[in-house]
Amino acid sequence: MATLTRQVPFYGLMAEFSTPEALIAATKAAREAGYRKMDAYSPFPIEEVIDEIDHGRSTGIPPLVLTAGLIGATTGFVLQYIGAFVDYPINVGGRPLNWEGWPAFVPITFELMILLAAFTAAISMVVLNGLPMPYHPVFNAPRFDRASQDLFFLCIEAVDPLFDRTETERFLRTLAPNQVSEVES
Amino acid sequence: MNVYPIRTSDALWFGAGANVTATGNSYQLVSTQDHWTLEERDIYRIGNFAAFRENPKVIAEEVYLEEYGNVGRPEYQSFFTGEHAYPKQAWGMSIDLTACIGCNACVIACQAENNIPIVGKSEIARGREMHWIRIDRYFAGNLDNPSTYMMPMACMQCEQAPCEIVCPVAATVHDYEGLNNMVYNRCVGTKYCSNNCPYKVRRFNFLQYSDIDTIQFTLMRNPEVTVRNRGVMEKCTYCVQRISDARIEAKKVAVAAGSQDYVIDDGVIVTACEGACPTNAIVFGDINDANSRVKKLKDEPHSYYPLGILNTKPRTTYLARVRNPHESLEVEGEG
Repeated sequence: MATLTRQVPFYGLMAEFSTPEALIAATKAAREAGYRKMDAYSPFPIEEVIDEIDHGRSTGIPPLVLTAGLIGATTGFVLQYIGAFVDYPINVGGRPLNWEGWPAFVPITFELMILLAAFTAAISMVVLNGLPMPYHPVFNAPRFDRASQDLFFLCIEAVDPLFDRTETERFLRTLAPNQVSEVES
Repeated sequence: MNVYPIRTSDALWFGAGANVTATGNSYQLVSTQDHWTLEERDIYRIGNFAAFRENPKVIAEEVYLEEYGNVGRPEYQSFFTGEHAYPKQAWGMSIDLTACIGCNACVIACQAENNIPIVGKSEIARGREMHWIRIDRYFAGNLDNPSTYMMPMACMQCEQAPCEIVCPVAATVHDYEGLNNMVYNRCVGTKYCSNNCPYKVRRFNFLQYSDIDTIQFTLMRNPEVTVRNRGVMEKCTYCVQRISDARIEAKKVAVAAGSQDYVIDDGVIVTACEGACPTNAIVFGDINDANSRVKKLKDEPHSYYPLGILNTKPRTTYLARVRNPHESLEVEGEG
């Protein structure tokens, strides 16, 4: 009994639904109610849910990729400029040994831009997602393994400014879930 | 093949009573003549003397019309707007196709001068001949009585060389006099340069053709020429060893006179092919010198760039062949 009354820090409240339609409706309702820190779990991607959850939220990757691409292009060009014009100028096929020779540098400049941008996109995706993540609290929710089979979950996280243990639970129960459970952190 | 058994002293040049019988055996005949074909590209230019006397530019106009579709050389659209300057000497060559008789003396002279290995029949059959200059043979007109044309072809020393830009290790680059130099020690044998050469004048040392270990053979070779090893591309150098020799001599003269500025007189450098040519068809010299023989020949109206449409700017140019056959010999028609 003690566990019921003990004030445990918890991750959030998890509502379980049987149909994707119910999850879509619940996500919309939660968003309209003002909740922002929430996440939905379903066996397959649902576009409407993604729209509601990720509305206006940036992953942070595009500016990183742009920066890396620019750094790569600059590095490629400067590297070749120094090598071909400053440190060791050689006449290859009559190409001019000054700025007029820039077209010869395009392939390497482009390749280095793509290389750095691609690596940044892949690595920053992993890092910004917090991967690798051996433990995540949502797996403490009952029957959560069925999120990859036939059940649909909506979790409103405790860090949301509107979150209130009682009010939020009451709100979730108005959405006709199968059950609402507290997720241990 | 030994033909002496049928060539007896009583009749050296004639024989009778011979029979030809099919043996059922096969015998491989090899010839370098059809190697490195230029795939129907027109590289040999011919003009008629009467028309040439009337308008000396007639051959050049025909070339432009054929290659560019208009009379006159168009301005090229190039990515590279700048050009290289060759302020000192710029070596060039002019080959007069009217004078060339196709005797192959230049091929032998080059072979001897540059220690070019003889590869033998089996390698020739694989298309691996090594000689740096070749004589191309072209036929024109009626197949029963064709006109035959000869064209010496060595490295063109292009100013905008297609071979250089494809080399991944910069093993073939230009020097300050505009020579297209092979740097043998850098070459890794990709053969990209040979594939990209429109004139097909680069030669690859597939096997170690030269016996460089047998000590007696060293006396046979020209000591001024770099030893080339297996797996390395090689080609005509414009006899760079003779150019260097002349430059060193000119510098010695200049230093003795207390000057920094050396002068290499026209005609001091004679390439091996030029020296061997019995008709003086090949002329080598400095094209920066307005008074040099080669510059004057290049200014002739019938001087042309081989495959000029490729904009490779070859340092070797040709003087188109001007024919003046007797009317009775023209019945078959010219090609």
